[in-house]
Amino acid sequence: MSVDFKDYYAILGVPREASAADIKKAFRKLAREHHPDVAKDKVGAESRFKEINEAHEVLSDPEKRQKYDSLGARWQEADAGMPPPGWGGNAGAAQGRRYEWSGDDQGTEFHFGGTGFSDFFEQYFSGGTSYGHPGGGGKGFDPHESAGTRARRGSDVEGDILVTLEEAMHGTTRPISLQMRNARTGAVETHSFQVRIPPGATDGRRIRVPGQGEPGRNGGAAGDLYLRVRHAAHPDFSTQAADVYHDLALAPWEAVLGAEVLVKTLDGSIKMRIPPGTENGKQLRVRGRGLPKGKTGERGDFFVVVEVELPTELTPEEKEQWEKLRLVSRFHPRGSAPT
Amino acid sequence: MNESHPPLPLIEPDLDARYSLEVVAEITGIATHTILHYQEEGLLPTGPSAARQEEILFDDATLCALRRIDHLARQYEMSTPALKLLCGLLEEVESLRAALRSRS
Repeated sequence: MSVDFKDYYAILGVPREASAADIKKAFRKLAREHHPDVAKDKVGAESRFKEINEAHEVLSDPEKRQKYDSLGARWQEADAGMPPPGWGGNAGAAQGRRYEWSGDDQGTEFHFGGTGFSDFFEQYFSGGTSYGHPGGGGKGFDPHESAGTRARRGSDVEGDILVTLEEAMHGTTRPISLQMRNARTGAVETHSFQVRIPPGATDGRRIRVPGQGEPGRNGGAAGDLYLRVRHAAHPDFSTQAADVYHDLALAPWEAVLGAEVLVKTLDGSIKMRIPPGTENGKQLRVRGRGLPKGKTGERGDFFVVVEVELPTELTPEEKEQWEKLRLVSRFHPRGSAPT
Repeated sequence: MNESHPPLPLIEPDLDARYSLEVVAEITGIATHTILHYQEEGLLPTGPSAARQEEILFDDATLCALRRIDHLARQYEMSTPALKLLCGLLEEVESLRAALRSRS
């Protein structure tokens, strides 16, 4: 089995030397175009949106980007018979991830499907780990536990799951498949199930799926599966816990004189009053319009972050107005009158 | 997914689930006195504190942390100070990553 290399730069349409700002800009533009909410071809848009998100996830994180760049350089070589590290086994399924315990010849292999990430991402960039009581043989492991027929609980398995903000808002159901090959018995078992992602699944939150981790040994209980929520980047919103942030572009006169603007939230638009003298970067809070917080019905807040944009192309009339303003204005941001 | 197959079993995790000490011991396979030791050492995510031991409630994040700590302690024979150091670092890395993500 092999995994196709993903050209994340091509997906975002940026050169390899693109700056972080270029990547963000390219992502936003594409994400807006392909966001399932706005695109006409819903199914096609969704897979494209996930792909764009995945590229952004890797290229916007300096550490992951560096890893990706060095991986790209080695890819040909790896393809020609030198499998990248961690490559092993022959579980044979079409999608997912696998990993094995290092230093453990009795390890269990895991293979994920349905997380919303590509095989390539799963293999190299998903921060997933597996921990618990690995199946014997590890360094420093209690010999009494690894020997014989004593019942032992299976390891916990952890993996990332990509959740769009709309899904985090309303909840969703995801089919997940977890394929495990027990290296000791050679048997491959696939566990397929659906997991309800409840509304309010915040970024980084681990959703515990009881009993879906590694099977126990000698009659021990199975480990648990932890799905770590990764919010898909959204062109218009970002999140911090249950709070949602939205950058609002304003014209200089709107910020200075105040304005009433229509602002898009995750559930409908709201009319907002921008008070006169609103400074760039100011956060205006709308209570209770963020993500749900548990079952209480309580919700996080919605923050509008003011981004004053300046006109760059001026007509002669506009230029005249700005020049007039310069003459009459008492505003001196550097503290003294301009010379 | 093949549509002719019976529907997959649906698991509905409860994000607000809270467990008593005994239940946590049962789920994780870690002895209650060990769990209390980790808690006293400040290794577990702080939850609502209770005056009486029987009233302490743990959430999923604590379960996850417990299993990780237990794994480190067993697999690498880590002492409590080493666990504190490593768990603190892991926590910091995670929060820095989260900050980095939310900035982009």
